[in-house]
Amino acid sequence: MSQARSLFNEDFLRRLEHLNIVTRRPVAGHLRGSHRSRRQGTGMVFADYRPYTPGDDTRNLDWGTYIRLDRLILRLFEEEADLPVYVFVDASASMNHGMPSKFDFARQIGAALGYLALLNYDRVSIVAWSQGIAAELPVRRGRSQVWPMFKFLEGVAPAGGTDLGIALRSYFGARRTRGLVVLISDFLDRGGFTESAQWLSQFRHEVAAIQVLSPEEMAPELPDQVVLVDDETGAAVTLEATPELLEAYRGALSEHCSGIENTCRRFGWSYLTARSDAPFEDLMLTALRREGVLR
Amino acid sequence: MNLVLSAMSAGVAAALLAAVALVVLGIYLLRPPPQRIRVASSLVWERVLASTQGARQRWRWWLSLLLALLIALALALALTDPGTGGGKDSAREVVLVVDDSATMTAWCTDGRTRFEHAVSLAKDRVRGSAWGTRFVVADTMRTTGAGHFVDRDRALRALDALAPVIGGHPRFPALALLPPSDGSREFVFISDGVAPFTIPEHVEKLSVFEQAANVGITSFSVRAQPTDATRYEAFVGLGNAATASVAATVTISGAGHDAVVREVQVPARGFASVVVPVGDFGGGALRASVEAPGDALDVDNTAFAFLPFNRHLRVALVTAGNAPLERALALDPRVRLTVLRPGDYGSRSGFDAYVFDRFAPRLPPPAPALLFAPPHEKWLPDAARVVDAPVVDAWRTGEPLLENVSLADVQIEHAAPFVRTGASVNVLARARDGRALVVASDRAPRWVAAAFSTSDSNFASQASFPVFLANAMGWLTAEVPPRNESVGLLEVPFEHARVEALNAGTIRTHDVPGATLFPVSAPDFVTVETTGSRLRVLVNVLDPATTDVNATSMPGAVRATGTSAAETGVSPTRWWEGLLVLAFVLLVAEWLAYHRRVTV
Repeated sequence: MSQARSLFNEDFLRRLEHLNIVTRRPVAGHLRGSHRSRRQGTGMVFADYRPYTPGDDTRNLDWGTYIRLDRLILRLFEEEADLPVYVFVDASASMNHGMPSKFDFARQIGAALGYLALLNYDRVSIVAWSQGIAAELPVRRGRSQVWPMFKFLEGVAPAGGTDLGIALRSYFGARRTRGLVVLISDFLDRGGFTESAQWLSQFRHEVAAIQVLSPEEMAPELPDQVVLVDDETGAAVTLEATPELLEAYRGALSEHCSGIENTCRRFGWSYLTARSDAPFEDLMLTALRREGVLR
Repeated sequence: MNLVLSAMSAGVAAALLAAVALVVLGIYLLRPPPQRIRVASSLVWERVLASTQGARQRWRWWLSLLLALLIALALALALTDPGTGGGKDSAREVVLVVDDSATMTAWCTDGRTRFEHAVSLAKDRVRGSAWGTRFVVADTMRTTGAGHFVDRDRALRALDALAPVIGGHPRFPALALLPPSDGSREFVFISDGVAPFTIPEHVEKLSVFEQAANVGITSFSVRAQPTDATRYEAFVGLGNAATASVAATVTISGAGHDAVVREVQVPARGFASVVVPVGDFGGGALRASVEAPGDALDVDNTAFAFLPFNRHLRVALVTAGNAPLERALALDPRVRLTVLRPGDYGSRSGFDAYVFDRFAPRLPPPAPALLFAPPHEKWLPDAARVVDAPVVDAWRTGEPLLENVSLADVQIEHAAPFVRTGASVNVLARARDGRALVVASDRAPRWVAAAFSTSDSNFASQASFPVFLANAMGWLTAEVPPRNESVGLLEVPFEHARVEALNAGTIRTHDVPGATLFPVSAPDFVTVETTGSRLRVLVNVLDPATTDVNATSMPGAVRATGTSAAETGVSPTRWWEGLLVLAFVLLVAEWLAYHRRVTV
């Protein structure tokens, strides 16, 4: 994780500390945290009034209302809870391409988001997946878990095909608290993205999809006659790299990305595309804030 | 459409095309395989290919191969020089014989000569032949190589290079005398039919004959009048080829006097002559010309003759008595003879030449001399002892002194042959043992010496003796009679000679061992000079057969008037330029389709 360490320099980490992971809906955390929850308790955010019943905490009585109306009214406050953050990092063989590698870029994103979540005392789970769950870092909470999280990500190596559906089913097949799901992948999944997203949407998680593509994928430079070998399946494709074909490729890739984005928007999820050679700080400090993932 | 390959046979061409196709195919099959590149996923590429290149990619390779094959085959086919059309028949070999003798220069009524018509007809024949036909162009005057068959372009160039030849003897080329056994060769002879050829049956005859009026000079000579040897007259013979009599104008011109003009009526297809006194002209060339209305042939309208400069020679015969020699000298009309006894030699002077009979002065004479059996003197070559009955074995007929002189029947009783003649002495006749019998010296004063006398031989009774005396008098007085030659390529027995013609000016010569060659294409008076020697040559046509331009043996043949290629078949189409253009276009298309890259 030397790259991550060099990336997370003191100044950058200080700037990250001013950011918070946000959710659009109240969270369902069980422990106290800094995120709004649907439960009412001792938080700072006013939620509602209700008539006083014996046994209620008299510290929350609204005495002004009692003087005006001669009725005992109790003020209710939202209880602040922690946020379960599930970071899904694509560890398939296709992520091992690009300069710099898409996988390195993806796990840097995952590490940065996990770092922010741990700073805010959120519960962080890291899942490396390919044709299923390749590796999993169980739930971690608190600042002391930062370096174990980094070490976990450092130990993951990309391999195998891509099947997001199996990974999601494997992980969310067990009962999971509703939270924020961060999907970091190139989404070059032959099984498609829509079906997997449909299945995931039933759990009503907040989802942020970050599609990482390499410069070579976005603007390929090929010789006249070429055989392209799929690194995941081994399938070979022979083609004549004419200008027309390259133009058609760029159109098809754009269509592929648009399809993923449309699916995300349809479910109210966040989506952004990141080039693996793009400045990482811009992504964290600008793009994710623009998408509403960070504040 | 009958495609004919001009540059090679069909079998060779087929082998060439097959080899080219195999090479191209081999190159395609041996091309290095495309580069393999590992990518993250071929998912998007597969979608693209499914919608765009899937099927096209398969025939793209075949199309590229087809284009390469077409380019290579077009280039290879261009090498075979293919073509179509140009004749009703298939390609064959044609032997074209064009008559370029003198009568072919006769003018026709359309302003062109018979020769020009013949060349046009031959060209039409070439252009109208099927593509791939090969030709031999030959002529009756043997000016072309005529050894091998050539394509149509070269045949047309050969026809353009032909020119009529005046003089010489036309001959039908041996190449066209015998046809090949398989009959694949065609023979065409284009002529006016005037020259007397024996033309084989298998030769197709095309005539360019047209009736023409022509009056020409058939003879022209200058000779002394029988009554007065000092007076000369010119004899001009005229021939008329037309079927009507013609009034011709004869003009004699020369140095020292105004031209003399005579009107002569020449009968139809007959001859006439006119005699003109020319004694008042100065010595040298005389030019005779004839003019007649509608005259069709130019080359026979002019002729040259020579009028001697020294018409009176004062000759001293120094002899103890030799009546035959004295009579022979007296018969020469130019000679004014004085007979002296040897003792009287030196008492008189003023002679143009001396004749010494069995006598020689101690010192060279003041004028050129002819000596018979001279005794030994220092200025003469040494004489051997007297031999009996030497036989004249060889004599130099090319020398002016022995021109028209035969020594074959000369019998000699006694002679004292010359020995140690020296480099300046020219041996004219030798005995069988090789010793000199007649010698001459060109050093001034000239002399000619015979090793025998007229009384010891029968030379004086020979018919050629007066000719020898006349030659000797002319040579000794530096007035050698001019040679008479016909128009054409002439040869004189001098090396590195300079040739000047009265009309043509300086003539370019060709040196050969012992002689000089030079062409004369029209009647002229030519002077040939070399170191210490001069020779005059009268070059004339003077041929009644040439003048008679209507004596044709091909009167009924087809008249040659512009038989065009359109009449003989479709104009030939040459393909190789088109094939090169096609190859270029295909090359550009292939480059644009497969090699031009804009984005990568």
